Amino acid sequence: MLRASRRALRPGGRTAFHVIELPSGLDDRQRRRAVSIGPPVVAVRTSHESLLRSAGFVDVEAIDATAEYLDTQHRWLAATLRHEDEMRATLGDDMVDDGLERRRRTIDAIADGLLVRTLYTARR
Amino acid sequence: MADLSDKTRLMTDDALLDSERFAQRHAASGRSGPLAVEREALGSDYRATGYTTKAQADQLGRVLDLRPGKLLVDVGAGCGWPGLYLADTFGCSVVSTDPVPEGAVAARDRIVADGLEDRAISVVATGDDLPVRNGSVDAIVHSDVLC
Repeated sequence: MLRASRRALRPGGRTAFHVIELPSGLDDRQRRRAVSIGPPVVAVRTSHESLLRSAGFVDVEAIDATAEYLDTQHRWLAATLRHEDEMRATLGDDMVDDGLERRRRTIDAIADGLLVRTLYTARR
Repeated sequence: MADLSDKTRLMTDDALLDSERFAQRHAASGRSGPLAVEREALGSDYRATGYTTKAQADQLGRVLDLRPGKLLVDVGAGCGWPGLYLADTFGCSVVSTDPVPEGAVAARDRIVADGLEDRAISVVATGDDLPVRNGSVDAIVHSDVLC
């Protein structure tokens, strides 16, 4: 997808995207926990910075957005609980319960330093 | 070999379950409860379920220097967040893409509702096969698509 993005961009055009990933320095146990909780992309061992450079992008910058990610997860959780009855009526108990459990596990993983969110910017 | 087979089957079942959840979630995302939750969590009302807040969408617009005359492609935009918002806020044109037809249709409806028909289009497409000419685009976003 990054190569397709680069092809589509005019020379000097820019891409920007947020991605959830693993911080460096996790031991095997931490990594297994993070991979079990995070989105599938976190299992990729190659850094997004490397992927961008391999695709031909230059001026690659990474801006940490983990604090905002944690705050957003808390806000999703709080908002879901505020509207819990309506959410259960709309989505069903199983989906709401599963979503709340996933949300809480993710919040714990972020707070424990196992998941980070990064804004990458790069230029063709 | 049996272990590998079992793992493969489990992964396939999980993928199907996620797909079913996605379809169910998408069908419900336009209703009042999920929309209220989205507004409080992200500050948006585009049936988004990710983590890009309105403040972060504004940041994307600034770092990409979006303005009238620029062409943006939003890959995996779902129902139009944040690409349609960026077009509406920064005045750029946008090609909103998503591989899920229901999302692209919802984005098309939002384009009409927001009066963006003259500089926004919604297309069913994957990130590997973008519906634009090579070298024609000023900026590309795909927030949380790799998640």
